[in-house]
Amino acid sequence: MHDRPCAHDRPCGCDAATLRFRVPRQPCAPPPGTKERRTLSDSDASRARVDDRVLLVDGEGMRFVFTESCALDVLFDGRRVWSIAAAEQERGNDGYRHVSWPDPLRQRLDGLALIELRDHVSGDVVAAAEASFGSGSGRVEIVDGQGRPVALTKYGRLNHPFESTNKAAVEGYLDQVEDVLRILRDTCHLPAFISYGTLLGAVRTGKLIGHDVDVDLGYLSAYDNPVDVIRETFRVERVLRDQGWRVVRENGGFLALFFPQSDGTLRNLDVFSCFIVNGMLHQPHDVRTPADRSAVLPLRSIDLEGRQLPAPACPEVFLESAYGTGWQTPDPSFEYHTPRATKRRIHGWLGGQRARRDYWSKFYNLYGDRIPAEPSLFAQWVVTREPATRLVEVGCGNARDAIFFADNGFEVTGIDFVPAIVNRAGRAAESRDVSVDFQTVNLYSLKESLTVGAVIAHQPGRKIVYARFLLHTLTDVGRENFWRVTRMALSAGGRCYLEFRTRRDASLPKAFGPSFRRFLNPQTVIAEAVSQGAAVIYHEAGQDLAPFEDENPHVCRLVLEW
Amino acid sequence: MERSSIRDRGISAARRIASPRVHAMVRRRSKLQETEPELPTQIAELTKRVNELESEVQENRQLNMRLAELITVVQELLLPIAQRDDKRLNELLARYAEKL
Repeated sequence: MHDRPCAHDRPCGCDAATLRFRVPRQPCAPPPGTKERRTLSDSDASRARVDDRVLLVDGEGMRFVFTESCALDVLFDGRRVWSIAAAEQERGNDGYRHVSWPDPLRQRLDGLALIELRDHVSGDVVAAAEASFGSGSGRVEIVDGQGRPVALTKYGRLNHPFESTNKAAVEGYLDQVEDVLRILRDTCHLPAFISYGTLLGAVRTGKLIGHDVDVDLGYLSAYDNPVDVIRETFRVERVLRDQGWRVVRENGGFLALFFPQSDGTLRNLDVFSCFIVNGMLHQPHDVRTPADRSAVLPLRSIDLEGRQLPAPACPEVFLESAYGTGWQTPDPSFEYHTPRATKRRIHGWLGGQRARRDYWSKFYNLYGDRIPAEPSLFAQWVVTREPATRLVEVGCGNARDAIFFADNGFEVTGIDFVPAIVNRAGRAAESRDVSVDFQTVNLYSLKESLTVGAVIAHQPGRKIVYARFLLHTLTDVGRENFWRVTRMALSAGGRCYLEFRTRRDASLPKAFGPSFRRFLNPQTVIAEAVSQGAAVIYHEAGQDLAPFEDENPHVCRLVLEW
Repeated sequence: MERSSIRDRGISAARRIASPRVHAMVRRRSKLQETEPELPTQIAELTKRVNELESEVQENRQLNMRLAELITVVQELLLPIAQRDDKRLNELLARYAEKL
C-alpha cells in the first residue's frame, strides 16, 4: 500500500474508512462522471477533494479553498459543532483559507471524524475530509461530561444548541420561558416580549433558531433615565428571586436566569431591559436606534414553536439594529459589530460590575485541581494568634482556609463573587462535614458591598476579616469596596488579616502564568487602611511566606485593628 | 548648459503651464504653513482633548449605577431600620438639621 492519499471520490477501490487513505498499486477507476484532478502534495493532512474544493484537516485546524461569501457549518460525523464565515477566514500565502480550531474544540480532538463544510443556507456539503487526530482510534465526540451533544457558540464556548436537544426538554424550557413572561407582566407590571435571537427565529420561521442555546426576553422600562432603569431591574431581580428563580446579575440592564432542564442540563434565559433615552431606543448590549415607545407597544402576538408569545409591535426595528439589514438571511457565524457609541453608552451606564468574573470562573475550571485543599500557611499562622471567634473570609475561592477556620472552632462566613465557585466551596465544606455560611457577594457592586457590610456589622461580637491573595486581584473600585465592607464589618471592633502580592513580585515566576494582578505597594495599602480608621499592628513582607509549586511570591502580611 | 539653469528653466516652465487652480492651491498651502506651522501639534492636542473628554463622559455615565445602588440601599435597607427607633431617628434628624 502507498501512503499517498487517494485522489478519487469515495466509493472506489480505496479503503477510506481506515486511518489513512490507501492508494492501490494500480490506479483505480474513478466513479463515472468524476473529473480528472491533479494531486496535491501535503503528506501531513488527511484530505479529499470534492468538485475542485479542497479541505485539508489536521490537529491545528482546517485549510480550504472557497471563495463564496457565506456561512459554513462545520460538521463532525454529520452533526454541526461550529459555524464560520467563509470569506472572513485568513488567506495564507499558500492560497488556502486558514482556520484554527478554537481551544474548546481542539481539546476534544482525539480520534477519527468525517469533517464536512456545509453551506448553512443551501444545505449543500461543499467540502469533506476524513480526519485522524491524535492517537485515538474511536470517533471524535463533541459532547459534554454526560455525553450530551454540544456545539461552539458565537461567544467561543461549548453549549447545548436547540437542534441537538430532545423535544421534551425544549418544550419544558419553553414552559419556563412562559412562566417568566407571566411574572414580568403580572407581578412586575412590565410589557415583556421575546427578543434578539428568539425574536429573529420567530419572525423568520416561527421556530427557535437551531444553533441558538437560550431564549432572550426584553421588557420596556417605564423610565427614560438610566438611574431609574437600573433601580427597576433591582426590583425585577428581587421579584424573580422571590418566585424561586436563580438570577445572576450581568449588569444594570441584563439579568441571566439559570434553571435545570429535564435532560439534566442547566440552561439560561436572558432578560434585558429596553429603554428610551433622548429619542433613542436602547437594549443591552447591541440595540440603539431612533425609536419611541410605539416600536414596542402595543405588543403583538407571534407564533414560536406552536405557542403564541408577545413580541414588539415593530420587530424589524430591533432586528435591524441588532443584526443589520441582512437579518432575514440565516447566519450561524454572525458576530455582533456593535457601534462604538452603543457600546460606550451601555457599558458606561450599566456595566463595570462583572470585572474578571469570567476569568475566575475559567480559572477554577482549569486549575481547580491544582489548588491545594490543605490550609495556607497564612491561615495556619492566623489560628496561632487568634482565639476562635466570628470570621469572614473575603475571596474564599475553594474555601480551603474557610474550612480550616471552621474546623478550628471559628464561626465562618465565606464570600466570593462567582456563584459557581461559591457552590463548589459549599460542596467542599459539606464533604468535610463543617459548617460555613457561604455567600455570593460582588465587591464591584456598591449595593452588595454596603449590604454585606451592614449584615456583618449587625452580627454580635468581635469579628475578624480575612483576605488572602484577594487585594491584588481587585481593581481600584473593588479595593475601595473591600475597605468599605471591612470598615463596616469591624465597626464594633476586630482585626483584619491581609496577605497580598507586592510590587517586588511583579517580575517573579507565576505558577498560573500572567493575569490581571495589581502588584501593591504595602505603604499604599497601609495608608488606605489608616484612612479607614485602622491601626497597623503587624507588617511583614518577603518571600517564603506563600510558596506554591515552583513559585515563591513576594507578599506582604498586614494585621489591622479597628 | 549648467544643471541649475536647466532645473530653474524647468521650474519656470512648470509654473507657466500650471493651471490657475493649481496656483491657488499652492498659494493656500503656503499661506497655511506660514500661519499654522503647528498644525500637526494642534491635531495631536485635539486628539488628546477628545480622549480626555470621552473619559470624563464615561465617568459621568458610571455615576448612574452608583446613584441607583445608593438610592436602593437607602430606600430598601436603611430607612426601615431607622424607622424602628423613632427616638433615635429624631435625635439624628435634629443633629443634621443643626449642622445645616
